[in-house]
Amino acid sequence: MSVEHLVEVRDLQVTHGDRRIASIPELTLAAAECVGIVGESGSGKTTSLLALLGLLGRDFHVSGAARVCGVDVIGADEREVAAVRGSRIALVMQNPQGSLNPTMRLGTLMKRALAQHGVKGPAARNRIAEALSSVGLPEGVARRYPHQVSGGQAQRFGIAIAVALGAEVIAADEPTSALDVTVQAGVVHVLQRLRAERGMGLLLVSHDLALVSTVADRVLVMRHGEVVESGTARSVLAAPAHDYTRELLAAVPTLGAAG
Amino acid sequence: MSDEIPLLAAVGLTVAYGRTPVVHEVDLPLYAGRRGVGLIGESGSGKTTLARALLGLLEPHHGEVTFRGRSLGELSRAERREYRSQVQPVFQDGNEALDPRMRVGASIREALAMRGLTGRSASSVVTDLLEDVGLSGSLATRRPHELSGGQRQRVVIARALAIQPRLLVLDEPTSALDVTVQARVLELLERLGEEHDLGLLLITHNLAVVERLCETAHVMFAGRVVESGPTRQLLSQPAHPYTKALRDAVPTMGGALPEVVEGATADAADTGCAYRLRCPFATKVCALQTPVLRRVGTQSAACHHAEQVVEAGNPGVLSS
Repeated sequence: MSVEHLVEVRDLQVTHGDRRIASIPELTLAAAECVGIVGESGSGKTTSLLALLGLLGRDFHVSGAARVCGVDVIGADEREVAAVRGSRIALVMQNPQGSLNPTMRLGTLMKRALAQHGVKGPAARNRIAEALSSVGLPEGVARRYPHQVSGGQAQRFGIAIAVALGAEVIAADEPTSALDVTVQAGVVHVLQRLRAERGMGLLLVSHDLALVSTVADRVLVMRHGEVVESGTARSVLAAPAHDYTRELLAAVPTLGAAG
Repeated sequence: MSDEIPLLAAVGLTVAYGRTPVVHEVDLPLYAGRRGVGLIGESGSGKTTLARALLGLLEPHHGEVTFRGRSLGELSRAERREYRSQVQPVFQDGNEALDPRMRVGASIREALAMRGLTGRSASSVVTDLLEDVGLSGSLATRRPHELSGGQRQRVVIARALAIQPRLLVLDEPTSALDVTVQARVLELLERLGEEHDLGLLLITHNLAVVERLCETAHVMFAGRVVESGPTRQLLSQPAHPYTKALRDAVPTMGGALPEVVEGATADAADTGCAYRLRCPFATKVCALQTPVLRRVGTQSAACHHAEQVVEAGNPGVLSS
């Protein structure tokens, strides 16, 4: 089949026992596009991302249709999904330092990730150098341990791994929430550049509506596991149709709002 | 106003971990009653260390922390007790501040006992306090893990209020909360400030929260206060390039992607301005002389080029 969309989801349902955790009727992501998923704790936004990566445990039941770069990530066996994960779709998490093995230098971590996907030797070294520069990190970072870099650098490194593996989609779960505002902007610029220069698709899970409004093309608003509103970022955030979206928007403290 | 003795103050305060000063020669007066003061800065700027020193949890290296004008080290027992009750901390994670084994009511009763309130009268005050922070009195029988994050943060605030403080020191009180929950906690703090005539020292990296709750704000960078002033002026016409960078880095709804302002920090103990390595205004003098706080319009700023910064942030303002 021709791959028009990097991600294509229809009637995705995630249940745990008899509880429905997340339900997404429809979601598509094209090359270079960014879809934002917003909502509060327990809205099902992270669960939905993990379902696309095949990372939910056995006690979760996932049904419906979900294709990532043409691979059916619900029906396929674990080996096939594992091959997609990393090399086609990569997860970038909120706490970058916590997701990196603290006993290994960053360069070693990246070499291992590449070796798992069969890239070794000089080819690996070239890819590492190129990936680090694509996220604006100096090559010297490869010799450091995770605790020796700042939160912003660790987050860039997480993105660099995705670049080195040739991922086409980045699934970012609150990628800037743990970072200072001044550092946030740098990480967002990196993601934007990868979209523009490499056509990477970005699934951005965030509770920061202002950030989503500056980055995303389209938005899904989730609450209690359901999508309550979706559409272009402009229409949803400028003229929300659902009460909950309005409530979320009203709750965001904005600069210059007082007086 | 300047003649008034501050309730709590940092005076030429330096706090060091080992040899590295984390807070460097900071002056910060805090007055009792109904005034919000914001302390803004990025991770590692020293704002939490400063708060911990103000709470008497860290020893000053140089300078002092004063309570009603007297150094913490010189307080009598009675004065120390007064200090402990009038200045109350509220930390980021309500989960860690509460004893997990204690029911909510017992936690608050423990605080009430500090001011000699026990038995029946204490029980009715517990209900009042819970209702005051917008919780049902029936929550008194619950344990912390049975509550949501927002409810726990309210219980921590209720417990702090039980001691009838004059000043709350809040370190990122809403950062761990969802936005709608955060909005309710902010409303609560706003209301409590007015009703209980309570001073707030609010430590946060969220400028919008400071703008909403604080009349005055201080910005810290690399252990020093680099700008102080009325919050609204400080954010609309920043006089220090770091304040300006912080303000410009906040994404706005539907706005353009903020500018990137990352970069190295010079050592605080070094000569020269610690911000110069990322500063677009930096010149030779910034490497040679450490700027000290000086008056710039309604603010004080520690920058050799403060006038230029004000002008750059608001073209045309200075010429009129």
